Amino acid sequence: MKRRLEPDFAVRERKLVATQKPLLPVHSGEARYQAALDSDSRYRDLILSGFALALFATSGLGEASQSAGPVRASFLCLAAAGLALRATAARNANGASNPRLVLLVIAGFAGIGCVLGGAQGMLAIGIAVAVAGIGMLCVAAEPIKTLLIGLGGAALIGNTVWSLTNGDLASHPLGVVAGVLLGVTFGARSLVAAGSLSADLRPTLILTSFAAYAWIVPSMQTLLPWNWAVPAALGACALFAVAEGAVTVRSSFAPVIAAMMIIQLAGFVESAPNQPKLIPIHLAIMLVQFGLLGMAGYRYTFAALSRLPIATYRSTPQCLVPSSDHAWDHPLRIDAV
Amino acid sequence: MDLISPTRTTTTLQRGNCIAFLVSFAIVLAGLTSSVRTPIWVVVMSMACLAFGWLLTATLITHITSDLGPICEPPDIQAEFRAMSQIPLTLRLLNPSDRSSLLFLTAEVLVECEGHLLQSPPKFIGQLPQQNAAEFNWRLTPRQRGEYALRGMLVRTAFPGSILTREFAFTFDRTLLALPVRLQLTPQASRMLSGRKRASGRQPLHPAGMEEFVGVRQYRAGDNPRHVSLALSLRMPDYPMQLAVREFEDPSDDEICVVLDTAVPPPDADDWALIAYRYEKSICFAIALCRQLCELKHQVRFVACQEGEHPFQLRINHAARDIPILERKLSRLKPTPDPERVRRLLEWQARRSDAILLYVSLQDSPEPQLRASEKPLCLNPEWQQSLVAEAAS
Repeated sequence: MKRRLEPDFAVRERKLVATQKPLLPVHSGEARYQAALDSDSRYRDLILSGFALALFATSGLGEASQSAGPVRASFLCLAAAGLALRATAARNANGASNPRLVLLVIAGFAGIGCVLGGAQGMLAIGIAVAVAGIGMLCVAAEPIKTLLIGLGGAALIGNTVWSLTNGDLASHPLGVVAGVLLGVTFGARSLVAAGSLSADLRPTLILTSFAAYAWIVPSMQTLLPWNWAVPAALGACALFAVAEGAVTVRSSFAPVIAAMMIIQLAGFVESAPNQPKLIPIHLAIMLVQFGLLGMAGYRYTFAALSRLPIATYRSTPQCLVPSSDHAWDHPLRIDAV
Repeated sequence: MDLISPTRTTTTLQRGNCIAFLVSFAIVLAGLTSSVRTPIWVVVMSMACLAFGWLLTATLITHITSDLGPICEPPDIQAEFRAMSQIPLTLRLLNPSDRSSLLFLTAEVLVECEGHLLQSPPKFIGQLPQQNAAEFNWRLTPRQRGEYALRGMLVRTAFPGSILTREFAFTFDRTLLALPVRLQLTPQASRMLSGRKRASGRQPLHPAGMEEFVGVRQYRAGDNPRHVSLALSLRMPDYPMQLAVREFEDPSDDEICVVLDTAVPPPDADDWALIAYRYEKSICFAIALCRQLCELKHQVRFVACQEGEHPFQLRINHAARDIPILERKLSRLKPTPDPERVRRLLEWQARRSDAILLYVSLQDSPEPQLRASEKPLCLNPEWQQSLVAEAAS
């Protein structure tokens, strides 16, 4: 009888058992969860609405932005827009963001700032143009983005130093050092925090972070005496950095609520003593936000289910199986159907 | 069908929600005891109250809805299946409560494999209404022959925001057997017997072993009365209506004897992985070979060394009846580390009958050193592979 033999059979068989044992499949639940949130436009709308309401509430419906001035009002708008974008921006596989959405969000928040600061006429329009300009960064060329980030960083450091020394650099040398350290630390933190987001969106979010820090430090300086302003600014910046990082990672729903509360209280802390009459409106807005967050949380809960594994990924012993194309395998796989 | 109640119910704390609950509670408490009533106090208190209210309500909902807990139908799964195939597993949960639905349920099934407990991926349903049932489906893909055990199911329920999670454990203890992979052989496999048949009338080396005692059974009409054992029949409960017969068989009646090489070196040996891999493939090949020979009306005896003192032997006359028995036995067969035992078995088998000896070997080298008249047809791994057409479903 003629035997059909493969000349290299023994070699091939030896190679099969000598090859590395198959690794357990990578658990892709996190990617599925992020994709589920990315594709849920209703969730995005609810969160953006919540942040917009928080911005309305924190400004005391325009009074705070008038008292704080156009620059700080625009910083507040940018901080709110940045957090809202971090909570809702797409983290799809190819890393591309949605420039139209970014523009809409930034322009929307600038519009809110414009309306709130409406009494100041042309200045409000100036705020809107500046804020929308930062939003347009996501479609700008790479050198322009780098240049603007550099300028933004320098402005952040300058603003921090100026705020902490109250404009008198010579008599507050410690304030200069603290301002530079604070600016550099949190500026660098902003660059790192945007890492997990798409490359197109990163410059915009970095600049919104700079704006947030540039808004926090003068607020602390306004609220507290100088010797308390530095540690308070440091603490507030650290709190904001933590919230920003947690919202960017988007690993749970709690940081989104925390970020919204930060925005809601941030301007209000400064302006509250002057506006007790606005408290009922503030509470009404809060109740609406509670409803919006409840609906967003419901959608989030179902999106979070896609994080659950769909097959056994736990470490199991390897075994030898009678297959002619692979020798090693895991003894049992369980798939969810 | 019998329904199973949870064998264990546990309540665990969710750390994140617990911290949020305590923080919001502390803020509310501090706010209530404080004499300051500034606008900021009002806003912060309102936020803390909303958060506290939500967490408390979610915890109460979890507690109330999961008070009775679900019950489970035992799994309806076939006890035997083939390795490398996909087996559906469906478990039904019922909510016996007539007051409240079970909310946000996740279920996991526990399967034991070689002493390792594997937890399945969880399945989720949002709501299980009162007096209703829900099905949870998984797909099992065993790659290794042998026994698996379906140990039970874990069911968890927690409303989002609840600081408590209720877990219900159900125990099944169902043993599942994964049979070896079924191979299809080429028609050439039967042609290898040509020229191997010996002339009849050859005297066995041990005349006394012409007929061997194989066991005792009840007398059936048509049995030779000379085989009735009086001593054993007297012990039968309905004697003399019930008689015992001693069964004998003639080993020289076998046409073909398939001997499986089960000598696998210990795991610390250099070539353990290669030989163990060949061993797994040879088991499947040996079953396929026995099946094909049996379907061609040959009388086949299967012999293999196994762990323990006695070798495993099975006479295969009817494919439909005997091959499943062989598969069940071989799915649990453990190798022996001693190649000398296999050689002695082969030698003994060659001497005791005239049957054509097919030796399913794990080694590349030629057949063991036996006398020319006793030489088996040695099917080495390379030849085995060349005779395999495909893996049947």
